[in-house]
Amino acid sequence: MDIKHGIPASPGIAIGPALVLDTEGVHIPRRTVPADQIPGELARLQSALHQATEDSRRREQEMTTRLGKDIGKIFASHALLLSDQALRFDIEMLMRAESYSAEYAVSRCIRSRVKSLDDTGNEIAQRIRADFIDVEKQVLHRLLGARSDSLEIATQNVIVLANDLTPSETAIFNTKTVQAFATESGGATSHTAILAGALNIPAVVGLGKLLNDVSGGDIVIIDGYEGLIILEPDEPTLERYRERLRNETDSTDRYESLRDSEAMTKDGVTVRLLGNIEFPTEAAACIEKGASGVGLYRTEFLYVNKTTDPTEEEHFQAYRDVLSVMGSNRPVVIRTLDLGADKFSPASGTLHERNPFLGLRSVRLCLQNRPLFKTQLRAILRASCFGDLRIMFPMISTVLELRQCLSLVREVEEDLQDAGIDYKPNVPVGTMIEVPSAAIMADVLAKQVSFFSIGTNDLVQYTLAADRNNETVANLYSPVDPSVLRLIDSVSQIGIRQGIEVNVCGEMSGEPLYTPLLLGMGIRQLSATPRKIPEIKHLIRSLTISDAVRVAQDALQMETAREVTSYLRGQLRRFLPDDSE
Amino acid sequence: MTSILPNQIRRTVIIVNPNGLHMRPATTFAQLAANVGCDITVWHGEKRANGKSLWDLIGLCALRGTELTVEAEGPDAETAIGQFVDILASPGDPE
Repeated sequence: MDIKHGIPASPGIAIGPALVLDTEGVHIPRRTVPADQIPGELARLQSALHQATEDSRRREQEMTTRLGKDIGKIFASHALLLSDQALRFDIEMLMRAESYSAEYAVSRCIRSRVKSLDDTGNEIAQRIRADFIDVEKQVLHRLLGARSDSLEIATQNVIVLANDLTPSETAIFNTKTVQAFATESGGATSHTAILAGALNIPAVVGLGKLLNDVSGGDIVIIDGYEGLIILEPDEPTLERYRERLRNETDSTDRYESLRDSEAMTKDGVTVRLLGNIEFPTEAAACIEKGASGVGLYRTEFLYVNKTTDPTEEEHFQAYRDVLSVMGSNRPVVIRTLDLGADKFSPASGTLHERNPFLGLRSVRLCLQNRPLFKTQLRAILRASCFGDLRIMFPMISTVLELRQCLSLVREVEEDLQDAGIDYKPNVPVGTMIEVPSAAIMADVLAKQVSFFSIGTNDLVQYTLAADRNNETVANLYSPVDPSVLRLIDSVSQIGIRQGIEVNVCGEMSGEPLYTPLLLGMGIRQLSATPRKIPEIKHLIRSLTISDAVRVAQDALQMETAREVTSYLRGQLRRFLPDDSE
Repeated sequence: MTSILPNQIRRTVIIVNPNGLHMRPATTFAQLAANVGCDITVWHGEKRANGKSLWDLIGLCALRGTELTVEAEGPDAETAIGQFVDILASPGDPE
């Protein structure tokens, strides 16, 4: 049994067979074949090696013509590696001796060569590693054919293990078969983790080296509460987790009775709890969990995994669906496209950026692609007739950007008017505060909009200049770093002074640890993943605003994130003495 | 130039290419080795590489400054070996 610790990204427990993916393609499970099939396997191997060699030779010629000899030579090298007699001999030996399938024997032979390269640790080894892996991929591709896309062939229940997953990979997960996932890299607030939360499956990220210790089909346990993965679990451990899995269903109902109660503090202050959603189908979960609206409707799902940009009609239907579920009394805040950087769309042909998080993303991308932006705005405005809709712009960093967005909204309104198409006039428009410059200029921005929503995930990463997905600096990333608290507090005070609503979305608002602090800074609206709402409501009902104000005052005096965190833990235990967690 | 067995020629050479014996020169080396009648072996200390195998040559991970021994054995060994030494001794990437 081997227990590895990572970062809990989405709670829950799962037990099941592993499906191992990595950045280097499919990890081939150990498979043996009956002795009488070995000649057939050998023939398959020979043909795959031959075809892959031919592929490389063709590519060599193509590339030499197109890009010159130097580039062509890369593929000449690959062809040599693929046609190597010694390699073929080694693979065949392994197949004869161990009855391995051609795929597994190829993978074993090439991986062992990669490993001896890695062991030298020298710079040539580092440079050619990718070529070896590429060669492996080419043979496997020939052997597996169309079956190589294992995410889609996952027909049985699996737990996906990977070095990292792109959001678009996560998005194609079939949640009926993918029960949980775990990754070697990534942080608690990576988009992949957020998606896992939205899909409501357990996830653990940032586990460090893991994939070499697991083979496909091994039974593993994911503990999304503690952030653990347990490899080769022994029987008592399995039994313990099976028991927890059975009890889990009961404990999620723990705060069920609170669904229809108000989120009101003991001294009578009401807090508005809203849900963050990713897909239209999650609107129902918001109501089920007692949310009084949707505080953040991410719209990126409309763009990812598409070869063309979504049509106005696709946008419109996705928005109207949510509005019709929420009814006319629950607000739905639609955030315009927040694509870029890590969430790429093949359709928009994203350019290569050296520093994508500081590059062309989100509203910047929209302002440079007006037709794309206007299509979305038109659909949003058309949908406004079907409920209490609000528009929100992400990643505003200057007043000018906000003005440009607002004037585009007016432009689209005029277009609709001219075309005689219905929309609701004066739809409330707000902006996210997630770039430090916006937080600093909040008093000026407040004059232009009817609400703010503080996106803590980005605000933290931009304030502290620390990538939340980079485990080597992730320790700098904390939503309660004093610098971040000062920004949130200042934005909240400006909202109160200038009479506009300030919401907090982002992971921070779904974490009970931070709830008293946020209320104490004057925040009266929290938007979190629906699953978290009952727990947050329970906490709000267990404290008074004067408690919260004291917590905020104390925390704002502190000098380090660590100090604040441990203080908040103590306070949480005071407010919820019965909750042993 | 040393000769241990009849028809076996050995020569040592120091890698001066700043990138070491990387993919490109190794590919040129292996391609040429496939076209000569003799066997070509490259030694890096105790580590042995079949000159016709790119996997082997690259696996030597010979950085600049590494001393390698080239061994040619068989027909035309004496005439062939010079070309291989030239590839390894080349300060840049050979064509």
